[in-house]
Amino acid sequence: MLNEAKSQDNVDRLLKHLEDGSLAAQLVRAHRDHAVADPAEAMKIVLKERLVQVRENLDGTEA
Amino acid sequence: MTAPKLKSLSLKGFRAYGAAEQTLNLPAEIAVVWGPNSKGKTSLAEAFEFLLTGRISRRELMASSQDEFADALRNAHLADGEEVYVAARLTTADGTTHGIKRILTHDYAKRQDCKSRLEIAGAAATEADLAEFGIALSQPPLEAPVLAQHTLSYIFSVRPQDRATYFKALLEVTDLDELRNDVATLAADLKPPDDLLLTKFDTCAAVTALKPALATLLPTIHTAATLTASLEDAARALIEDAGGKVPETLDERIAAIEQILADRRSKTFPVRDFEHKELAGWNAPQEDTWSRFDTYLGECAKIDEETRQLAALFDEALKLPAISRITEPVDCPLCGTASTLTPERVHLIRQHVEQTRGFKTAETTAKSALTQLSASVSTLAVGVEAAVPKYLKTAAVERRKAGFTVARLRHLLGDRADELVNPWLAHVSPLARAGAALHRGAQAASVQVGKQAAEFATALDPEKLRVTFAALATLHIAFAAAIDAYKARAQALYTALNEVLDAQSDTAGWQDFLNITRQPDALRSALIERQARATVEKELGAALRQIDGAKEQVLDDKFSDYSILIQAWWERLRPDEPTFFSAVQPRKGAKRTIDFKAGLSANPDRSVPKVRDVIAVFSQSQLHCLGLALFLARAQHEGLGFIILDDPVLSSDEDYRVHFNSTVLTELLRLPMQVIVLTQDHDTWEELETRYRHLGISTAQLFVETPAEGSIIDNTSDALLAKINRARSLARGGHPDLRKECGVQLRDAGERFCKEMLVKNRSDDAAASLTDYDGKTLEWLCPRVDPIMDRDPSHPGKLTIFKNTVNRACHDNTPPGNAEMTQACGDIRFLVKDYLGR
Repeated sequence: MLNEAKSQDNVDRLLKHLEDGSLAAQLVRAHRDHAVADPAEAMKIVLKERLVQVRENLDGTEA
Repeated sequence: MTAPKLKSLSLKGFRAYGAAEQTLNLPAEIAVVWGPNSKGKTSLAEAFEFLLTGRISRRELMASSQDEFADALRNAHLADGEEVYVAARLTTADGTTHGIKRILTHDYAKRQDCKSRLEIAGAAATEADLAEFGIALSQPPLEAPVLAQHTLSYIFSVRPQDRATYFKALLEVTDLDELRNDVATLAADLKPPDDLLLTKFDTCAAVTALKPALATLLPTIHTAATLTASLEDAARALIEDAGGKVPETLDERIAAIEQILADRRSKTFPVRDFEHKELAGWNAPQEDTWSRFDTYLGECAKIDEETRQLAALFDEALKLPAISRITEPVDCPLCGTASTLTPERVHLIRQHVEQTRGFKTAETTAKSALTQLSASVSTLAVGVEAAVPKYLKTAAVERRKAGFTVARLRHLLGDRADELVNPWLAHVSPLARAGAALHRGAQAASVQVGKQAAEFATALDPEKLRVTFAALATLHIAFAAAIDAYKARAQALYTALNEVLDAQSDTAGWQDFLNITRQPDALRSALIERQARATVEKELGAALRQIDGAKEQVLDDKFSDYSILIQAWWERLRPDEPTFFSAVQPRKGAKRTIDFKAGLSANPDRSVPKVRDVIAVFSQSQLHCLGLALFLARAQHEGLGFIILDDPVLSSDEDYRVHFNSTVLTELLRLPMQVIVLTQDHDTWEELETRYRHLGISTAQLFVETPAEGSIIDNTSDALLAKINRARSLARGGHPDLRKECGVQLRDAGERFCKEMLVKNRSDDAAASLTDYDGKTLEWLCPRVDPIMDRDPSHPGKLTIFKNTVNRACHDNTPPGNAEMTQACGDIRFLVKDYLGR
């Protein structure tokens, strides 16, 4: 298990290679920023928000 | 946390070390330990490893069979019951000193790992607790910061896959793999919704007649209006396909399809006979119903029969203005008697009316309650009738005539008959009985209400009503339970039967279509949900691919960074060579293979190098050097506080040794990193002692007096004692050359002793220095020291014999024997201790 600082460095490096604002970047950022609490739960929240957004977009066809 | 520094290492009974605890003092940032072959050097290096990890990596890396290391850690000569341990004191960044100790509890055995107990400050601890001191272990199998010959060659000899795993762990990207896996598991949250409506939609979308219209709903989500239009189109297509007349509205079309479906099903089986309505809710009479009757009976008791009977007449009379407003006596309107109705009598009538007002109100309320009971019974009877399946209300003859028989059901359901028909049948009779009982109860209640209404004025008996309706409520509960138990079984049978009938009547999917068409809003929501999840799942897949790509780039970046570190150490070890280390990198297209690349240049400036694999082009010396560079790069990369290097330089590599002793060690100390060098090369030991004397380098020597005693650590920063110790280890050598070398060491030791005695004797001369006697030999020194050796008359003689023995050893072709050389070692050691106190 890596210590937090080294892990943080890896994730920062990873983010440099991901398009800012992309879903991948959002998920990685959520994982990093919630590393101490529950990173998996933090990513689930991002995904749920995206799902809500897509759902609303699809539902908006009625408008 | 700043990395910790070792202050000492103590060991007892571990490998070459015996029962007496040995301690290596490590007060300085650099230490050098000299030990000839088989004097405990490797055991000392492995003691560090055992202390930190609880095992020795040599067993994993070298043993062809794990059995070979059975009983390897406990000294072979140690008496039973003696404890085996390695302990260390270390200081952390805050300056505090901590004691850690590992006790061997079970040695290696055949196919069994050793076991040990770690203690910190005397309390049980785990390897994870070491991290709190800043001791960071690396990844297996080279966890400890100990370099040995077997670890130098590990990376080049290991299988490609293991090498890739090692470097991925070393470069610490495994957490990105975990992150990637965490992201991948999110897909589980995006599975298509488990929605029965969607299942039905998919089923009816496969029906040929419905397919064209319903297919338009699949790729995109429609508005509610267009979705309804699609359903209308589908319904139209289905009716037309069935040869029916297409009505205008969707509701009408649904009704038409239902009719066609029922007709087709009924041709095979009277399936509609299963139909029944939901049992309507029935509220048993409230408690105030009965209190109304009680109130009425109470009011009745207050006034007599005649008054009650006349009450209505009086009331009506007072409504006549001619009576209610008289001021003079008038004729009676009933009998015509003249002037009999006086204002006084009207006043009396008014009083009678007032007295019966409560009675009349109670009477009205009680009659209303009776009416409600009557209506309640009727409602219940109708509800029960509707809740009973049609086939139970049909005469057996008629049922059979219509084809509604158990045998027919079994035939249609085939293999599934028993599992569907039997449970259904088991609940039919209880339902029929409960229904009949409730029906009878309702009839009885209806009769009772009628009887009470007829006898309302004379013999109203609320208790009879109360008992009747309590019984009715019980029957209703029993019927509701029976119908609940029945419904689940009947529904399963009904659904399966319809599937069979639909298949036989070419109406498969019709029922599903009816179901989804009745819920267009719910259908649209379900389609949106499914489409949304599919979209996000696709996006998640793309995100995973992006993360995979970025992860590889991070690994490349880190390999590049690591290559730069290795190159730097390589350059310090082997500067300016035309063949040089170029890079360590994953092989393109084969991420599980890690290559070490060498640059081969024909030019002194290393221009235009050819790149080759180091395994193929490097000499053994170069590979050894690269192994050392890899180790040092790792130590720097991981920010280690200390490293232990067991013979890091091949004795044959003179040039390389020079660079190691100077440039490499200086750079390590600059990091700063504590370095403990174990060497069998005495020249290296001397050079390091001289080169790093200004840093207070700690020096020690290893020797063995007897195998039973095991290896002994002699901590000394004293060149004189070091020379004596070295001589002692050579004195027992069988070969004459070893005893000659012993003589050389003793001559140096003797000269040093004499010079120190002379300087000591000039204690009042502050400028006195050993250098005052540079170039002086024993022949010159001994006569001048003899007079000041005044502690025992035998001492000058000891020194003279010592000098003679040493001269013969240095100059004669045949040096003195082992006994004489050992005696000379003992004599000079005795004199040093007695006169110099060391």
